[in-house]
Order: sequence, then C-alpha cells, then structure tokens
Amino acid sequence: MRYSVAIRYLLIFCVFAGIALGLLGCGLGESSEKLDLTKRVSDKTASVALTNDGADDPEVFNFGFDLRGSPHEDARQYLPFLDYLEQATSYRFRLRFTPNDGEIIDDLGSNVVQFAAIGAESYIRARHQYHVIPLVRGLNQYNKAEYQSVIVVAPGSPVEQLQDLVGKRFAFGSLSSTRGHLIPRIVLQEHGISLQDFKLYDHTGSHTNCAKAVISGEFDACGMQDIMGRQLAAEGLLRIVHESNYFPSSGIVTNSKVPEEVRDRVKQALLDFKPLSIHAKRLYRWQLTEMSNGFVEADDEDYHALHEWNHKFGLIRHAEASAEQ
Amino acid sequence: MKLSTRILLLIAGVALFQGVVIVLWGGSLMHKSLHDELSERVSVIGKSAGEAVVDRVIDGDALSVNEILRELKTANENIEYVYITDFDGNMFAHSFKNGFPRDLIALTQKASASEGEMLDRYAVAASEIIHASHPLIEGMDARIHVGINNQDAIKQLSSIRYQMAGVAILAVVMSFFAGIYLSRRVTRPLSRLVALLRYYGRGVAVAPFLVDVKSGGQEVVELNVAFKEMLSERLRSEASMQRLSMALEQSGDAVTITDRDGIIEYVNPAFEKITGYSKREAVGKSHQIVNSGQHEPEFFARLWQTILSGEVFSEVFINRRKDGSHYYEEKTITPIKDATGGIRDIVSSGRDVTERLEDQEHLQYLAHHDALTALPNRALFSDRLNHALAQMREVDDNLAVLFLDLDRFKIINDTLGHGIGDEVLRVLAERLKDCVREGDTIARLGGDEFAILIQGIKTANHAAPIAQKILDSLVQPFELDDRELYITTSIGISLAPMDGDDAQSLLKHADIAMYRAKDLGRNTYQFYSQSMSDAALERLTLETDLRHALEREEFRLYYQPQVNLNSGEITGIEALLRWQHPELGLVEPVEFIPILEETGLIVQVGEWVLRSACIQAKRWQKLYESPLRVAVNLSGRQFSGHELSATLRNILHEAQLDPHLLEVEITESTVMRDDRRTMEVFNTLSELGVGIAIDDFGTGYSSLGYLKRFPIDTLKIDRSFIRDISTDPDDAAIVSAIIALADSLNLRVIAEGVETEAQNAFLCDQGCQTIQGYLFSRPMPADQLEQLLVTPPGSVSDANRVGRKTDNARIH
Repeated sequence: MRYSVAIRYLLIFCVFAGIALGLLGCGLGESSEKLDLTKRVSDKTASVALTNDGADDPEVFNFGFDLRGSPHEDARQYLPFLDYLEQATSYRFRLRFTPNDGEIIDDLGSNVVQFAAIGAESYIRARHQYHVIPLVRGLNQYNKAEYQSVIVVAPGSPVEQLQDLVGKRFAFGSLSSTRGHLIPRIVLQEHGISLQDFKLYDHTGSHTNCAKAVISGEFDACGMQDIMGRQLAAEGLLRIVHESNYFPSSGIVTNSKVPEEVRDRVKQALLDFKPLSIHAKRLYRWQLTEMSNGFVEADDEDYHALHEWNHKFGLIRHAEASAEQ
Repeated sequence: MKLSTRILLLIAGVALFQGVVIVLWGGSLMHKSLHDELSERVSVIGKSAGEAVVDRVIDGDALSVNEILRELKTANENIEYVYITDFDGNMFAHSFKNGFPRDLIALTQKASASEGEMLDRYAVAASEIIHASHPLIEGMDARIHVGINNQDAIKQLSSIRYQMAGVAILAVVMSFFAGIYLSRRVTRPLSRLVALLRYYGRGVAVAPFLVDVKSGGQEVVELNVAFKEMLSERLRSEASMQRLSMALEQSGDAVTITDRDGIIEYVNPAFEKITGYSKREAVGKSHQIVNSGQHEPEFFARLWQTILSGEVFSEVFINRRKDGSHYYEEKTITPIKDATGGIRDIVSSGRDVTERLEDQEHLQYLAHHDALTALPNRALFSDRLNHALAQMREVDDNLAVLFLDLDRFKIINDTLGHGIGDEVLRVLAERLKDCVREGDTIARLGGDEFAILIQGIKTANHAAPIAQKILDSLVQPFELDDRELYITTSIGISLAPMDGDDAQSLLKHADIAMYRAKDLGRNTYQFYSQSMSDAALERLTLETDLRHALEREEFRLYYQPQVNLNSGEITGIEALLRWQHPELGLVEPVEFIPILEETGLIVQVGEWVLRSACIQAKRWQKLYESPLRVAVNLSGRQFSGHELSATLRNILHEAQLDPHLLEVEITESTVMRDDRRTMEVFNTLSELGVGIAIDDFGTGYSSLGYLKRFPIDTLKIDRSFIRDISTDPDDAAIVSAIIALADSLNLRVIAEGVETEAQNAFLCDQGCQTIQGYLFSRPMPADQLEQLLVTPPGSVSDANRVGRKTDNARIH
C-alpha cells in the first residue's frame, strides 16, 4: 500500500474514532435536576409552606356525606356531582370525607363541611343538635322522595318472616343510617321485635358491610337500603323477607353558617339537577344513590314521623343529653 | 473521490453509525426500560401504600400512617423517602427522621397542582431519585409521594454502556480494516477495467478478455462479462451506425434532419448538391431557407399539422436553390419520436423531380393537345365544351359547335404524301385561328376533322358568318412544296341548347350536319336539323340491313337490253343491281349503292353481281344458243382492287362463260383517276378477254391519248347528254362528237337513257349503233327479259316500252 494511501486511511480512521468517542461521551453523560435532601425544615414549616400554597379559599365549600360505599367509590360518585354544582352555582366545592370515628353531623355543626348529603336519621339528629337546614330530598328510581328498607337474609335461610328472626343474629348498617338502622328498627318494632329479642345484633357501618355480613353467614339477617338489597336479591346473593313502609328520603342539608344567598343558589342548582338527562353523562353510577332521579324541595316537617320514632327509640334523647352535657 | 476511499468511508461510516446508534439507542432503551420499571415499581408502591393508608388519612391518624411509611421505607432499601399530604394538601405524614427536605416542598407543590399520577426524576448527590406522586383517591388532593433511589441501576447501566461503546469502537476498527480490504478487492479489478476502457476510448483495438477480476467477487466478474458484451455490442452498433451514416452520405436523395422547430441539424451531400447550400451554410438554419414562396400557407399548415400529429407527410415541394432557381422536390417528411412518444426530430428525404415533372407536364400537354397542329385535341375540346355548357346555363347564353371535315383530303395524302398533308393541316390550323375570336376554341379531332367552339352567341346568325369566314379563308391556295393546293371543307354546325345540351350530342349533330354539307356538294356549311338525324338514322338502318342483305339473298339482278339501232337486235344486256328489302320493298339503287361504296360492301356485292350475271349469261347462252354479251358495272373499289383479275378469272371459270361475253363497265371518272393503274387493270382484263366499256362517257376528264392507248371496247354516252339532244344543240354536238370519236377509234358506242323517238332518231342519224333505255326496255328480272329474247328482231319502236323512268343507277 502506498504511503499516501496509508496516511489517507489513517486520517479517516482518526476522524471516525473522534466522532465516535464524542458521541458516546455525550450519550453517557446525561444530566437532570439536582436536589439536596439534606437541607431540612421542620414539619410545621413544611406544613405551612404547603398549606400556604393551598390557603383556604372563602369561596370553597366543603361537601360531606354519610352515605358511604368506599372512599374511592364515594369520591367517584360525588366528584362529578360537585363539578355540576360548581358549574351551576359558580362556587367551588370540595369533597370531604368524615373520619370513621366522626360523624358528618358534627362536621356540619363545626362548619368543617357546609353542605352534606345525609340520611333522614342523620338529619334529625343534626337538626336537633346543630339546626341544620334541609335543602332538598332525593328522588329515587321510582321518582319518589322517599325510601324504604328491606330485611334480607341469605338465600338458603330458614327465615321466612320477621318473627323468625327472634333469637337470630341481626346486622344493621351505620348507626346514623336511616335505612340501615332507623327504618329497620321501626320495622322490627312494628312487628313486636326488640333488639333484646335477637341473639346478637350489631352495626356494621354501611349497607355493604351489612350485606356482606349476611352473605358471609356472620349474621342471619340485615336491615339495609332497599335498592342495594333488591339488587343483591336479584343477583341471588340475598333474599328479602320484608319491605318497610316509605319514609322521607335522604337529602342535602346545609348549616346555618352558609349565607342565605349561597344556600338558595345551591338549592336551586340541586332542584335543577337532571341526573337522568342532560347531566347524566358526567355522573358515575348515580343511579345507585338515593338521589338517582334528582331532588325535590325539602322541609323539616317531612321528617316528623321519623322524628317521633327517634324519640321513641331514645336516639334523640341521647343527642340532647350529649348536647346538654 | 476514489471508489476505494468511498467504500472505505461508507463501510467505516456505517459501522460507526451503527455503533453509535446501538450504544446510544441501546443505552437509551435500557435507561428508559430501567426508568419505566422503576417508575412502575414506585407507582405500584405508591398505589398500594396509598390504599393501605387512605382510611387512616381520612380518620386523621397521622401517627399510624407515619409508622406505616417508615416500615415501608425500611422494607424497601431502594425507597429513599415516602410522605403523604392530606385532603387539604397539608403535610400529613413522612418517613424523614429529622425534618422535611426543603427541596421537596416545591416538588410536592408541583405534584399537588397536577392531576393524577406524577413521575419525576432528579439527581441527589451522586444518585438519581425517581419521585412518584399518586392521589390517594382519584380526583382529591390527598397524595402519597414516593422517592426511589436509582443509583444502582444507573451504575449498572453505565457499565453496560461502556462495554457497548467498547464493542462499537472495536467494530468500527474492524470495519475500517475490512473496508480497506474490500475496497481494494473491488476497486483493483475495476481499475483494470477502467484502463481497458481508456484504451478502447483511444481507438486502440482491444480484444475483449477476462481480466483477473475474480478477486473482486462475482459481481465484478459479471461486470467484466457485461463489459465484454457491451464492447461487442458497441462495435456492432458502431458498424451499423457507420453503414447508416454512409448510406445517408451517399444517398442520392437529399436528407435533412431538423429539430422539432425546423432548425436544420444535418444535411447530406445530396442536399448540398441539389440546393447549392453547403452543410455549414445549412446546419443551424431554419428549413425555410429552401422555401420558394410558391406554396399557399395552407400547404405548410397541413404539413405541420400532419407531422406534429406523428404522421408522415409526402408531397411535391417547389423549393428554391441557393442561386434562386426553383426546383421540384418529391419529399417525405417523417417525425422521429422519443421513448415518451413526443417528437424529437424531423427527418425529410427527397429527390429532385423537376425533369420528371416537366416531362409529365409535357405529357399532360400532349395528352390534351394535337402534336401536329398544337391545337387542343378531342379530349380537351370535350372538356372545354362541357365547361362552356355549364357556363352557358348560368348566363343563359348560347354556343355553337362547328364540325369541319376537309374535302377529299385523302387524295392529297395519297397523292402527295403525308408530309404535305400534315403541312396542310398545320397551315389550316393557323388560318382557322384567324377566323375565330381569342376565347373560342379550335381543336383537331383527328385526321382531317376539326371542331370549333364559339361561345356567347345568341342565334344561328352569329355562327353562320364564322363558318363563311372559314370557307373564305380556304379560297386562297395552300402553297406547299412549290405546289398550290386548293382545299375546301364541309362544315356542320350545331347550336346549344337547341341542338343538344351535352358535348356528345352537339358533336354528333354537328357531324351529321357536316355530312349533309358534303352531300350538298361540299365546300359549304349546314346547320343541323332533326331531319338530318332522321336521314342519318335511316341511312344507318339501311347500312345495317345492307350488311345482311347478301346473306339474306335480298339482292336481285335486273337486266336492261342493249339494242342495235339498225337491226333492233339485242346485242348485249346490262346487269343492274336491285335490293328487295323485306320491309321497304324494292329500294332504289341511288339509295343504297352509295352506302355500299362507302362501307366497302361494294366489293362483295360486286363480286356477287359478276358471278350472278355470268351464270345467267351462260344459261341464256345454253338456252338460246346465241352469244349474248352481258355488261356489269365495276365500282371504283373493285377496279382498283388487286383481286379483280383473279376474281374475274375464277368467276368466268366457275360460270364456264366465254370471257368475251363479259364486258365490264367503268365510269370515265374512275378510269381517269389513276391512268397508270387503269392501264394495268385494262391490260389484265384484256388479257382475260373481258370487254371494257367506259361508262358515263363525257362526264369525266378523259385524255384522248389515254383513250387511244387503253384497250377499250365500248364508250357509253352518259344519259345527261342524251336527255336534251333534241332540244339542246350543245348536247347534240357533244353526242355527235363522241359518236365520231368512237368511230374513229373503232370503238363501239352505246347511248344510254334513250327514252324518246326523237332521241332515237337523232342517234340513228349520227350513226350511233346501240342504244339502251326505256324507249326499248326498262331493266327487268331475268325471266321477264327472256320474253324479249325470244321476240324476233324488229324496230325498236315496236319493242315493249315500259315508260320514261330513267334508270340512272349503275354499279360503279
């Protein structure tokens, strides 16, 4: 090979080698943002910093509820509903969970939440304790602002009628639930069955837990909301042995601290809510709620009968006593 | 750049590219994969941890959540930290032991502001942290934030990347050397082939051979083979091109190649020779340099339209040479198309056909003109006549057609020769031109026939003067070859539209009128009339019937006796031809004899007459045992025919008739037409022993000297002299003279047409021996004549007389 040719080849090699190394060097040396985790602030400072960023907005209303599936499901159901309220009222709403060891009526009373979707039972107690104001009642799938409870047993249960429940294990939903507690109590009472007639009774905390308790065989019967009860019965998981009378349905209430103007606007937005038509597409499983068909205007007088039963069961007395205390 | 260098650069470049791509991309892929895996992992950790603590967060149980977070961190050594913000966005719990990293506050705020999961990556000291933030409940502000340390993975990844880089560099180096080797393997044989091509390009005769190219691979081998084939093909193409080029250069046709716009790109030597333009003068110029301007614009428009449509154009062009002269070129122009079908060039090939076309023009001229007189011929005349007729219809005018036939022109040709005859025709043509207007047409139809077209006349009165002028122009003799020739013509005139509206009819009618003019004595003109056509038609009918009359045995011989004036004895009989037409009855000889003569049938019929007369004479001879001479008229055709003597001999032999009993009668005018020929025939007849009589004596131009020499036996005085001998002293004197002449020459004399006693008496006084006429007997059939033959001799006045009807017919 000639000398000139060798030099040419060598030069070409060097050029390519240099390019290769340069590209590789760039490829290997990648950089990203640097943070220093050693520099610390106190938890309080951090909290303040984070809180300041999200300072309370006077125009943000907290919305609570005591009717729970699971936090995720509840959020999925209520967040689209709150989006509607925001659009309809121009106010901002934030969904708020009530701790398990707390009650929504307390959050209403302490103005932790300004609006809440609560059952009749909760309303009665909140009315007495915190003078909450009813705005609307929910329309069920039959377009009625009332609901009922069902007493369910396992499909293979020997229980055929309520009287068969004496000496059995009975589960309620939440203590504060109208259909999960108050109405089943009324049903039992009307059929001459008291709590003491049961071998065992307990409050499971939710309609779902109540149903699970029966399905699992932990309890023999459960008093739960009619819709879920019928659905589970249709699926063959439970059997309904008794349906209650109709009582005024759950609704949405507000506390007395909410300005009247806001209250009225929100009330009107609720009355304008059309979950079956124009607002349906943004909702998630709204048909499973107790407000599946929308709302009607609510009045305190609507709950008079339930109010009396509360007295009879001593539920309000307990609240009044707590309030006096 | 050398191919070897290119190959090397290409291979090395590709290898480098591949190496870099593999390293970078591979590294990037691995990094991404690792990152995704870690992200997925931290996401899962965050979700599962979030599920575990969401209720506690709802319940506000920060202490238990802290505990859970710390346990989570402990259980996963890669987890650098985990913390939770509540539903209000506040710090709820974290895994840090001493405070909360300040730098994470911003990150937390960023996460809180986002919706859904957020993943981020940042460097911490020598490590890398993947930070994941998940909402505890979708749509709500409570979040769990997890940070996972990426350091180990990064170290591992870097190690792999360095290894890959090393391999890539090694591959580049190996590719580099492979490239050197390969390029040299390929380019060296190619260089040899290039050298071969250069040799070939210099014109060196290179024998295609297979260079040592195997080292270059199969493709190079194939290239070498292809090169050899290409070389051979090129040699063949060059040879073909050379032949084509020579053909173009040596072709006798002018070849021009132009581009699509007509700019000359090539001309061959023939073009130079024909046009006078050299190749250098022509190439680069427009094809229009040879335009003569003789063609209409439409011609060239048609030319270009044809060529541009891809078709071939062939025509005769009138071009112009460099010196300005014109020439005819028979040219074919062909568009040359390229692969797409578009016209690339135009090739024209043509030859100088000037001479040929001029010859054709000359032939065209000759085809329409008479070569002798330069006058239009029959075809051109008919064409002009038709044209004139069409014009006549448009302008409502008349025209006249004059048909000229020279009188007795055949005599001039026969006697003086065709040279003189042609000169007569030429001079006549010139005289005719002086008789007509410039727009009139004179044509020579053929022979001695001419036709003249006179346009724009109103009546026959306008045509007659022209005809008279023509006749007057011929009064002056034709002085040719030291001779003076007097020519006359007969003219027939037809007028359009009265006598016909087409050329054929007008010419025919003019021809008929011309014949009428001839019948009236020639040297005159006649206008056509329908009766002429009728007469012509009748004549034509007779002619047709005559042609069949002989075979149909329609002819009859009538016999008229010749009587001795003194004894009253029948000394001879003249046979006279009659025609018994089946429809017309007995047709007078004056009507059909001329037709026989004109058609030439007279020869056959004349022979029949001779034969029949001789046979009849022989019969009478046997019957009556007395020699009875029979006289038969000979026509001029028979007389001049060369078969006459042989015919007579045969007939006489056939009839077994003594030749002395046959006398042939020839008119004086026939005899005197050609005295030398007459002498030959007379000698022949005389040798045969046949008698000779001169018929119609006195009407011709007999020379007494010839009369003395001719072996004549009889003179027959024409009836025209006999008719008035008793009243006209001149006729009487002529008759007396003839009788005396005959007597002096010792010739027998017969007077024809004797019809009266006075005539008879005169003739007797003058010493005429024999008479023939109605006074004694009219012509009659043989059986009737036999009655006379048995009549005893006596006075002629006692003979049967059949009336005064004069028989002027003769067989001439």
